[in-house]
Amino acid sequence: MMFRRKAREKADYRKLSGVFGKGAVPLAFLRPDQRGVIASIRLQDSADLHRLKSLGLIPGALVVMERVWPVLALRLPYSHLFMDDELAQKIFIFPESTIK
Amino acid sequence: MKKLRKKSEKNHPLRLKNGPGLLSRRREKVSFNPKKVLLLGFPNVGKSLLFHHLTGAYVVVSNYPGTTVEVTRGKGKIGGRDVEIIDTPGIYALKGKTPEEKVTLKVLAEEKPALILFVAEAAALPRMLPMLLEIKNDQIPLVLVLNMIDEAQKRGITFDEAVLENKLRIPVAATVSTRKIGLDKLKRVMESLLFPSLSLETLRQRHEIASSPANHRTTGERSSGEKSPDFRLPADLPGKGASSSLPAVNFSPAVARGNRLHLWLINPWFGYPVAFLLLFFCFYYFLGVLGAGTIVRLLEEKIFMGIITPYCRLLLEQYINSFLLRELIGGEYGLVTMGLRYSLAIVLPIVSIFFLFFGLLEDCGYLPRLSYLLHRPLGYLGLDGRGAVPLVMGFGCGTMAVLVTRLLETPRERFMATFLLSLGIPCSAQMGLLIAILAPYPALLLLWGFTCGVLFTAAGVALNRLYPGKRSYSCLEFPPLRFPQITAILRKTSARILWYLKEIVPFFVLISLVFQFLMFKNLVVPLEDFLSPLFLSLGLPRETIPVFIFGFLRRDYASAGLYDLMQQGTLSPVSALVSAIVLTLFFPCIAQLTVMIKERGIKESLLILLLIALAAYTAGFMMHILTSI
Repeated sequence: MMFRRKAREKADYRKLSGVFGKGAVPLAFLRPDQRGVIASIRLQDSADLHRLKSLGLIPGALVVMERVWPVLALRLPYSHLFMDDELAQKIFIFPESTIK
Repeated sequence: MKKLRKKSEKNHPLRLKNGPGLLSRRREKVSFNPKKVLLLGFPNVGKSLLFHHLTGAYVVVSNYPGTTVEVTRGKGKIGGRDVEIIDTPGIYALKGKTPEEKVTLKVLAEEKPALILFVAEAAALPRMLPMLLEIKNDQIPLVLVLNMIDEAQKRGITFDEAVLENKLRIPVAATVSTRKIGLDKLKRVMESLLFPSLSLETLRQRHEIASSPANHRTTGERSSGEKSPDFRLPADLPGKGASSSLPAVNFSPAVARGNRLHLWLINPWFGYPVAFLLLFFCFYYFLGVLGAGTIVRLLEEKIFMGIITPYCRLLLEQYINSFLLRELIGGEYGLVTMGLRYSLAIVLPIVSIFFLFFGLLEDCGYLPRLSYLLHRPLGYLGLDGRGAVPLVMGFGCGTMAVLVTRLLETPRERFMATFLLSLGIPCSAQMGLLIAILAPYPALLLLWGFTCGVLFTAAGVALNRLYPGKRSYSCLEFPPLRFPQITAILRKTSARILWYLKEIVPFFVLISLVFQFLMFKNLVVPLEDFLSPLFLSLGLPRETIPVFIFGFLRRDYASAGLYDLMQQGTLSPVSALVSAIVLTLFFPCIAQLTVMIKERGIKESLLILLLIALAAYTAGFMMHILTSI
């Protein structure tokens, strides 16, 4: 619960709106059973990005949050995974509610 | 200058060792070598099982990503001719960052395979396509093996192989390797690519006929009656401009049921108790009561002590005159009476039962759920969820667990896991015996568990702080939950038991030899004199010293020795506690040490040993002082 609040504070909408599209928030923003679409992944290392790509984590992919505690568990169209909080901070999504 | 060039030529990695004179002969030899087929693909898509079906050799296959950490080779027959089949570790990208990727890239470059089988999980094909296309550029014949097509069909994903073939321009074979479906077609495709006996033109014509949709429908072996007209995926990815209601990911009822169980298992309120009960049940009932109790008693007392040892002695006395040889084989520490009895009658049943249980957990896909639950706690020890597998396995056999640390990504994590395994995780044989020693005193047993647990955690947390570097990001997959297949588990368990017999039994024989050597030469006494101040400071009697010395050779052997001392009454309950703690934390057995040196190198292994010796001695000393107060 703590973590979600922190993540919300970290998501500075105005700062992000120009770079990542309006309304993109960190992945940890989603609550269980909520959905979103990946907007961007803020990682530099190409090997890391390749790995995420092969796990189905690419911009445009639909994410369904399964659990947020003890760590994030999520479902993508072709994969089913769990990840660190640090990594989740780098992945930005458009929550379902903001897509028009 | 000439000399220098000669030297550099000599050291060139591509130069053959035998010199240029033998080159021509070697070339001839190459042409006789069987063609090589490489299995390539993501982790946990069924490469190893396919390898097994193609070669007949069995390798350990599990429902956990990253089981194949080595390149496995086997001989298979395709179209009546020998081919060499190479199984590579599963990789996520052809980048060469992780050791598995490096190994696979090396194999790709060095082996010059005649054919690559890219194995993909049918239900997750889209995310595997980028790698397939990367490999396709390599100009080596390629076949796409769509494995686990049944699981995809359960999710409502259907494929048209012909359309897929036309779009990708490579042959496609749909298989279900667990049920051996589609293997004949795969073999036919492999044969036509490996041994093209016809001219290229006729082959192409034949291929076109075979892959045309009309023909395909009659020869294809899809089990489902439904055929989609085109290759289509169930959920289109929504873009930014998608309508407000996102299309649902299609989960069929069967998957939803599995998903409900999955959600229960990863719910901490339900998951932690289940994990605790499962492991407790495994260690206490399976290993303790059934394994260490019933089966060991039956094997050791009835079969070994009752039948084999007396007969062996009788035979020896009849046929062998030399006293030395008789002692060597059938004496108190003889090869048969001690080496074989300890390994086959005491340790083997315990380890087999553990492997059986572990195989069950692995096959039904529970372990990644356990990884999920332990992800955060293990983070404090510098590991991630994957670390749960070697650590739990360490309760079975530390030697095997050290091998399994390869599935961790960075050297840092591997070091941490190896250290923790050698420090505080007693293997099943050792733990069963230690519990048997302390069982009459429940309070001491609890104290033992508590102390070891606290020390283990403290050492892990401290080392995580001190060790330079940081853990990398982790993002791990949940494989699907499925009903365990009994035959698969039995095969896997027997493969592991065979491994155990091959690796460990020689060590027991060796130990009995070393033991006898020390006894004959009377070397134990000076060693005891040398070590006795250390042991006296821990409040332990002198009799425990040989137990510890041989405990280094085999940990469970030391526990057995301790058990003997306890029965004789030489050891008071309190010193039994101290020695149990020290023994738990003390050096790993020599088998584990050998593997450790092989995996981590001599420098890191020495560092680990030094840290362990310090921790074990300090813990024993503190415990001695505390209990004497």
